[in-house]
Formats: sequence, C-alpha cells, structure tokens
Amino acid sequence: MDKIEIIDKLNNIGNNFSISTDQLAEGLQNAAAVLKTQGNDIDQSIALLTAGNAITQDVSKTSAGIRTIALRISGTEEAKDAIADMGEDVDDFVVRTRSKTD
Amino acid sequence: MYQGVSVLDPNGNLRNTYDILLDISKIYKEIQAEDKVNGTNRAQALVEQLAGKNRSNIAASILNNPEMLENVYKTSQQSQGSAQEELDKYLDSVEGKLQKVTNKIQEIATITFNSEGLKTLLDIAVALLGAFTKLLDVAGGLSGILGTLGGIVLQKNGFNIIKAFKDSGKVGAKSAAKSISKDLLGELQNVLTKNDLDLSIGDFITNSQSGFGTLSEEMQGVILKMRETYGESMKLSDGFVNMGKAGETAGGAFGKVKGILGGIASTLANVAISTAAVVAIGYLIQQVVDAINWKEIAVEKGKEAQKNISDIKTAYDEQESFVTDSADEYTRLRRGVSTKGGQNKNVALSNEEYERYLSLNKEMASLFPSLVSGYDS
Repeated sequence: MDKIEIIDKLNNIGNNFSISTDQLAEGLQNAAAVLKTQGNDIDQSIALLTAGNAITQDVSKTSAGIRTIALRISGTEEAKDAIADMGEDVDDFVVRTRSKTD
Repeated sequence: MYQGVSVLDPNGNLRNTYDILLDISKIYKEIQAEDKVNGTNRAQALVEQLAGKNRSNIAASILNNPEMLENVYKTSQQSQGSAQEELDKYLDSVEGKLQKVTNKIQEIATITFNSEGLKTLLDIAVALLGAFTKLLDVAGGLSGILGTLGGIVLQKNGFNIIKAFKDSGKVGAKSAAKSISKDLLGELQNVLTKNDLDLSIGDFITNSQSGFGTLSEEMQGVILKMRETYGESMKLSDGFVNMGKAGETAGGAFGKVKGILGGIASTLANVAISTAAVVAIGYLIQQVVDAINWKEIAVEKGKEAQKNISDIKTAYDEQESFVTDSADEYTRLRRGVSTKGGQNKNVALSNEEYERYLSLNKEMASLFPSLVSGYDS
C-alpha cells in the first residue's frame, strides 16, 4: 500500500468522524500489528479504532482495548501470554484452540 | 431471536476481528433489550468476555456503533485522493494563495538578493521613511493627509458617505456623521422594502418574526419611541425617515438615535480611513520618491535628449556636406562607369578617377544606407 493511500484514509476519516487524523495515526501505531495478525486490513482497523474511540475519546486506551479484544478473540495460549505481558486481566481468558506450537 | 456468531469461517479458520465484532454488534442491542425484559446482564457479560473487565468499555463502544463501524469502513475504502483534494482546496483558498505568494516572494528573495543588494534596499527604505517623516511635518500630520486622501479615494469609488470629509476639507466626524446618518436611513428603508419587512411599527414590535427581540436594547428603545411619537400604524421605514429628519433639528427625543448613528458613522469613518491609509501610504511613497529624484531624472533625460539631437545633427551635417561637396563630382564619375548586372565596371575613367568613384560610393553608402542596392567584389 502506498503511503499516500494511508494518508488519504486517515485524512478522510479524520475529516468525517469524531476522531482526528493524529489520533488515528497513534491508534494504528499501537494496535496495527496485532490487528493485522488477526486478519484485519487497514480499513477494518481504522473502523474499529474510530468506533471504539467514540465514547472514551482516549485513543491510547482505545487502541490498548482493541489490541486486547483481538487477542482474546483469537483465544490462543500465545495471545493469553501477550495479554498478560501487557498487564491486562487474563483471569477469565478462554483458551479456545490448541496453540500452534503445541 | 438472535443466534450465535461464529468466530470461525466455513473452512474452520479464525475470522478477522472486525467481522466478528460487526456481527456481534448487529445483535448487541437485541441482547440489551432482552436483558431489560428478563432482568439479566448478558450484554455486560459478553463485553467483559470479549475485552476483559478493564477494557469492557471499549468493546461496548464498538458494539453500540455497528453503523459507525460500517460507515467508517466504507469511507476509508473510498478515500483515494482525499488528501490531494483537501490540499487543492487549501491552495485555492485565500489563505493558500497568500501562502503561495509568500513562498514565491521568499523564492524570489533567495535567488535575487545578495546581502549587499538587500542592504541597499534597506538603505533606500530608511531614506524613504525619512523623507516621509519630513513630508508629514510639512503637511500637518498623518491624519490630515490620510483624511484628505481617504476622502478622495473613497469618493472616487462611489462611497458617498465620505463626501463630508472633502466638503469640510478635513476629518470632521460631526459633519460626516450627519451625512452618514441620512445615507444609512435611506439605505435602511431600501433594505426593509426590498426584503418585505416593511411592517407597521406596531406589527413589527408585536408580530414580527424578523426579530424585534433580537435587536439591541438601544435600538428597541428607538423603535418603541418611534411608536410613541408616530403611532403604531406608521410603516417602519417611514418612521425611520421621519425620525432622521426630526433628529437633525430636534435633538432631545432623538438624541439617542443620533448617538447610535453617529457611532456607526464614526466606525465607518475609521474603517474608511484605515482602508485609505494603505492606498495613501503607497501614493505618498511614490510621490516622495519622485520628489527626491526629479532633478536627477530631469538632468538625465535632458542629457539623453541633447545627445540624440547632437547625433542627428552630425549625421545631417555629414550628409549635407557630401551633397554639397561631392554630388557634382560623383555625377560626373558615375557617367564613366557601367553598373549593369549589379557590378561596377570602369568604362571611361582613369584608374585614379575609378578609385575616387569607388571611394565616394563607400562614403555615400555609409551616409545613406537606404540607397545601397547590393555589393560587388
């Protein structure tokens, strides 16, 4: 994907929804790697960040939350470890599938 | 009744986060509604299962906004060229064009001026400002000059209210205010009539949606006073005109109106002066430059003209001299030469005479270039 395409997306969403271009960039920086791993493209990642930020208006918390959600849905042991490393609650984490490394 | 949402696709692979959350969000409100009916708390349990207790508010925010999820997704997909479009809009705006001008000036300054050139320009600017200061001393201050020039400039543009400045020969707020008041009242009547707002005074105060209540307290007071003086049935515009006429002579009851209009007049006068100031300063600087340089310019032009006249006279003298001294000789020698085929050929002249003929030919060619028809060997 061309850099200008990413700028177009951030600019357009920043202009039309309740999130700024800067916030989107910061959110993607925090969550894009996990979201990409979980099969989301940039448009879906932007949609999740924008909708998640609608109430809290704190993109740092939003991106951390979306990262957690994506990992929890994946339900792997690795995801559980990653969430624990981030300092998030894993007490009720459900390991859904066998780990690929098993 | 909602059904479950699969996190796996038909091939058994994990679906992406967006698709799963979008599917859940479409039934989330239904879950919340059933919770209310049944007194359960499954919606909260769902978000906590998805995001954990600490991040459940983020999950709730996403699940409560399925429309936003889809809208943002579609908008993001259709964003191609949005940044360029915005840049184009910016560049087409006044601010953008000013920025372009600034950039161009900086560019020109960078490639045009070396430090010596710039210092020279600054010296000139200092000299101009010095001359401008002297001019102000002579002309009686900036306000006098600007007032006069402002009046001239604005009147030229059809701004009649400034006529008072010219008539009085100086910035006279009082006379300007009177003139402006008349113009404003006339204009007010036009506006009311054109916009179909010219109600009776009574209707305007009681029924008008155009906003008696939105007027300032002072203006409301004026209209109420107008009702008291002229009655409710008089048209609003007529009321203003009558009030303006009475205000010129009566004072007293309409002193407040005059005060308001006088204030407007003063404001307009200030705006006019500010506008004129820009034009005036440019004009004055040009006049100062010309005043400083006019002697040098005149001397330079004189010298140039003198040289031109001298050159022309010399040329004519040479031509006259040739005609006087050599015309007869050339005519005689020419008879002994054939010019057939554009070539000179000695027919009846001695070698010396032929040399003389050729010499005269060259001399004549330099004095009368228009007579040259060709060159031989």
